[in-house]
Amino acid sequence: MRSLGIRWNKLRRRKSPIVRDSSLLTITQLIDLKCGPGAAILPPEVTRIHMDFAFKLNNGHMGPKKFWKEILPRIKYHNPAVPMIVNRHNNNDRPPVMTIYLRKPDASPTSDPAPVQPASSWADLSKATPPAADERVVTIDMKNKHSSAILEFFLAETRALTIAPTKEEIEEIQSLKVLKKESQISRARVLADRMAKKREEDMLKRARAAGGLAEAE
Amino acid sequence: MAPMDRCLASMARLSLAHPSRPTLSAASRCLAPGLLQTQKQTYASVVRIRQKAKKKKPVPKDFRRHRLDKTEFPQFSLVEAMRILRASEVGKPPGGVKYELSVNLKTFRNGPVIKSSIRLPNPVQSDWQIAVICPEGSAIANDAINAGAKAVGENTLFEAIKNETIEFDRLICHESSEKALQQANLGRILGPKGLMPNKKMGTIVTDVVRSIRDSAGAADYRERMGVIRMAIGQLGHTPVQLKANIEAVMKKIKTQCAELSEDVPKDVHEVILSTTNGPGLSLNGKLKNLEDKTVPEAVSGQM
Repeated sequence: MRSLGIRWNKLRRRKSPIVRDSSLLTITQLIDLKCGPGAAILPPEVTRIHMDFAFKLNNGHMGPKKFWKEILPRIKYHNPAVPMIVNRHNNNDRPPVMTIYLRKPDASPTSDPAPVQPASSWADLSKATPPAADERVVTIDMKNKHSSAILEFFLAETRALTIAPTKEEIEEIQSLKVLKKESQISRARVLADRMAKKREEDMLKRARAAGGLAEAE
Repeated sequence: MAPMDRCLASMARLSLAHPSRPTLSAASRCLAPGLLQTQKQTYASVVRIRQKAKKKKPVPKDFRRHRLDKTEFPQFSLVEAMRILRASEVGKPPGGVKYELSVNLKTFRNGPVIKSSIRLPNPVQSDWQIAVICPEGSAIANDAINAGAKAVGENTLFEAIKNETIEFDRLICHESSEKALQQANLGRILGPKGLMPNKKMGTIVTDVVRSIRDSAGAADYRERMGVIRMAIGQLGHTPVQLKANIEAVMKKIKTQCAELSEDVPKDVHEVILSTTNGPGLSLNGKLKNLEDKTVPEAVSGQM
């Protein structure tokens, strides 16, 4: 079993260390879930979000995928009650679309039930449903857009309130950066040590092989 | 030559106690000067590496369990853990992801292990496809079909299994068909899939209907390397439902721990909640911390 320190560092550290842009990290760990692009609180008018894009990246489907992988968890963490549905399919000709459902401010609650939105699907089974009577819909065309551009559109349309990291969170991020730097240094040192040891062993091996031959003669 | 050499050496060792006897060098000098020279030649050119016999660390008697309170290891309330886990599973189809529970036990490496099955208050997977091996056309077969079995029979079922067209994920055998099952030699196909009926596992039964009903909502668990891991809930479950499931499992595990004899102490050390792709979060046993802002309704229902 791992020691507690290793477990805690694994939990709080970013998942993939070898990525150039820090915003392009897979976020599953804690500090990444809390801070970064997409850390925003949606206004109460937003009832649900629907994303529709293909599995493959051709025809500009990369941005939506990255948005879902890297930014949507953060939005979900800060807005746990808002359903966020992802529908994926194999048709790359269909433009990737994000649908945001907003409650109309002046509409009275109606009696007719809204069409039920099925849960996320990877088989094109959960297409965006038409809005209920007291809802209006905003769509964002995500084709050929970078995930950060999609986020800008999203924040502008929903008028979400971006959350700045708190003092403790900034400290945490900085301590993780220090940890990363230190680990890189120590990794280089260990590698050098191992290479030196290997070189010595090889040399010894070669010498022994030569000596053995001489003896045979 | 060599045996003689060894003989000399042993003689020398014998003579060590006696100072009056000639020493090794003296003996070899007077006995075989030629022998000495050959010895020198063989040993001079070969580099000898003395390999130390590595000392094996004895395996500790029990699994290592760290003290969580000492290091202030972060532990989460159920609602907060669900919030994090649901956020990291956003946009995944609900069929593929589940809440998972692992219970770390404080226990010896050897000794009895805890294993059983439990009917969860809110089942994780309720639509098991169950097949029943029983005499074809009998009353038992009819009862089994009425109870929800997907396939019944003897030879038809054996044929289907031999053709590898297995459309069920649980297999129950009636006692009267046990012989037929053994003669069919299906262990090679069913064994690796964990489907082979077995008395020990409780899958060769007399009352098929009851067994179907029991196994429909039951979840198996088993201690491996001091940890019990099992699926505990669907992502759509509310915190209260999930709490009921976790409590039911923990209660059963604790009673099982208490039933063991005092020579093999077993105790629950840590409870960790996770999802299929999410991080593992240690639970602190509370539904909701006082400072949590998340309401339980927010982390239930559709993702």
